[in-house]
Amino acid sequence: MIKRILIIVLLSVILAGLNNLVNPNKIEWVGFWPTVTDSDTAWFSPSYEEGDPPTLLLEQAFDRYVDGSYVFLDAREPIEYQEGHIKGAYNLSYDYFEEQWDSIKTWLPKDTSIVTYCSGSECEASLYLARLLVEDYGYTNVEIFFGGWRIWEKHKLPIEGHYSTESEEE
Amino acid sequence: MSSSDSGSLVCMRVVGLLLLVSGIDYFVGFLPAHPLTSTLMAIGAIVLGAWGVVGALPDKYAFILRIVVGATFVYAAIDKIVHPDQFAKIIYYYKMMPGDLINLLALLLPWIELISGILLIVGFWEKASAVIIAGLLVVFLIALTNAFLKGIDISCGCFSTTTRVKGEVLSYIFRDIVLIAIAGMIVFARKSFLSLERSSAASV
Repeated sequence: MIKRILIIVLLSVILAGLNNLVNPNKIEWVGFWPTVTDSDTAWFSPSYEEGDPPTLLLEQAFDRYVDGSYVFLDAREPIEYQEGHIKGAYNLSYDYFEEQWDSIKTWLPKDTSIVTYCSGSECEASLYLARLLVEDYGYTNVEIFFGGWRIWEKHKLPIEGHYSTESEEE
Repeated sequence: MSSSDSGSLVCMRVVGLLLLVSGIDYFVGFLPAHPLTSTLMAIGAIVLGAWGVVGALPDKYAFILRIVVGATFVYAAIDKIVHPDQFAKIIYYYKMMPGDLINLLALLLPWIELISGILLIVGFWEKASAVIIAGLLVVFLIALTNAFLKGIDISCGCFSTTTRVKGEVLSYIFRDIVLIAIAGMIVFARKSFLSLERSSAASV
């Protein structure tokens, strides 16, 4: 019985290995799944008011990053964005909103799940951007990640930009 | 009759009871989550269930249960084999596995499910397969219960914590228990149900 179980498992290992060579959706055998907890900081902007879009802790933000269907919007200035940002995020700077909005609005449906962030909890661009999208542009699914760039980078989560050292892990 | 074996008989009665309950629930609706989705399934569950409860389910029908479990696993495995990347995310969302093991599990688990499921359907090495499947089902049960208690929404891979979603998890848990009991029937049966290895010498 035990021998048969081992044979079945061994066969599975071989087939899984072969399949992962040819599968177009193949993945690394050891993936990048950092342990993300929120114990170190309580991030909150003092300007946050009741009725504002909901906020996310780091772990929740990373869950949404993994999900892949969320659009991350970087509310910082373009120069900061270029230096480094959350992997896959788009720059929609609160200060340069008018300039950037025209190109972004063409592909951003109103029901898109959006996560806004800026430098960290002391910056308020993510909050203002989220308010703007919800109140003035009718977006229904916006959340704010107050931890922002600083806490994301600190936990060595996937980033891209000039700062990022070569190709980051997926 | 193989079902005269006591371990198998207990499992058969459990299966019968659960099937009976879920079949009646389809028409009356007293469970918090409804595991069955069609009238045909409900009638089948009541008939098989009543038979199982009295412990008199003949082998030729018990063999249907074996195929149901095998087919469930084959069906469940195929999508995961095609999309290991998506399956890895689902494992991640359970928040129970060490990060380094997630991809390994995502790649390996569906193949174990597929092979065990196929062996169970054709009835070859079916006891070893049933032991593996029962083991996996117990692990799934722990994961599902954990997800239910934490309120993680695992049905869509997202993270809302509504009661509706909890109901869905409950029906997964119910289904899991039914499958464990069926696997138990196969494991404890003295002989196997209409399988390729009908001679008792073949079963270890």
